[in-house]
Amino acid sequence: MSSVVYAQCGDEAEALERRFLELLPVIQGIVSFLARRYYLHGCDLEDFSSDVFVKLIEDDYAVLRKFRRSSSVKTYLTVTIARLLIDRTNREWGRWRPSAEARRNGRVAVLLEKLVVRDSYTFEEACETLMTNHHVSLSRVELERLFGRLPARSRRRFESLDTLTDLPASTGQPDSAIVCRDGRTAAARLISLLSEAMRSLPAQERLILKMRFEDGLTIAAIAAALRLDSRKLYSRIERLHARLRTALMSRGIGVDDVDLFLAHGEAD
Amino acid sequence: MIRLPAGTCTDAERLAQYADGRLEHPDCAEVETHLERCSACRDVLMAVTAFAQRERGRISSSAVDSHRYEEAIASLAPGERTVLLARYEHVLGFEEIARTLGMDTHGARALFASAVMKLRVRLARH
Repeated sequence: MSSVVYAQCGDEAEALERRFLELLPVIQGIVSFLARRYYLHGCDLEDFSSDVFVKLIEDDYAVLRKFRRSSSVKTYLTVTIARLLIDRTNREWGRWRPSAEARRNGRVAVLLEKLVVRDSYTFEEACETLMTNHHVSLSRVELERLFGRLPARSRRRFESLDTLTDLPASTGQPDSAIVCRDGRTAAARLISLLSEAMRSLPAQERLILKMRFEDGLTIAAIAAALRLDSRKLYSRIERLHARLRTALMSRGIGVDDVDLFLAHGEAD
Repeated sequence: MIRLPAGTCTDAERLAQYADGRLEHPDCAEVETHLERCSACRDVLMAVTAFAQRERGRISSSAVDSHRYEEAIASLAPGERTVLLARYEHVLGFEEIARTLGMDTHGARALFASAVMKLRVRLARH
């Protein structure tokens, strides 16, 4: 490598380091915003901040070097840092996902559900953890009310063979297995028809339905993320709902089943 | 249009472009197709949107939706708009902005101050 190239490399490295230092307050702002959003405190927050700095500095500031300036640098850094945090959360929380109702009720509800459903804490223990470790300022009564709104979910866990042998059948009456199997077949058919109906929709409409019915996001939140007018979005979702309803009914699904299924999708 | 290999996430800058509203069809539709299938990228998009809303709120001291914010920015004089975006979106120093626009640092600072003031007044009017 010639001395000119060395000099250029040195210049680039210096320029990137200068840029990193300029962006440091922005990076710190993003880290603390995301930490609040995902309830990171103490050691977890320190670990996450270190991960962020390592990621941004490693490979001679590769993250900054790859930036083509086609978006705002703040948005680019927020995407990069949010991805780090979400990967970390997924690693720690596993494949468990909060219910739509918990997401609708905000991050305290998600955290409460995580503690009770995923980590098998009692409600009392969960309240204590929320107040002590996560600095949640809601009163016990408010937390109780919040907990009451969450759907009843059970957690999968390993049990010994002896426990399983003595466990009563969860299916109840002997013929309930057949009823249940019929119900599952009907639900599977409904889901397959719904997927087929959704495939015919444009990408943005499928995304809107996913955000509304699967992620349980509010119309205002979807409108902000997709840069749409929230009033128009409301009627657009109504139209999409009606369209799916018609598509399912035209394939022989009864009106009650369709309404029950779509209403369930909206609730959770 | 860059096609995404199956199973890979949209690259960070492309998702940032989408969040900033800077992607046109069909690139926009491709990102939306990916978002529909990838809950992790949807979570990232929601976090980015929330952060952008907070940043806009810092300028106007109240929550502002992206439409209103962009309208207010578009109504600024071209020089003010350039300096404001260079400072807020690209986080550039006044020396660099001045060098790029061929003016002195004092002029860049003055344009920025006037842009922020106008933006605040216009957003407060809503």
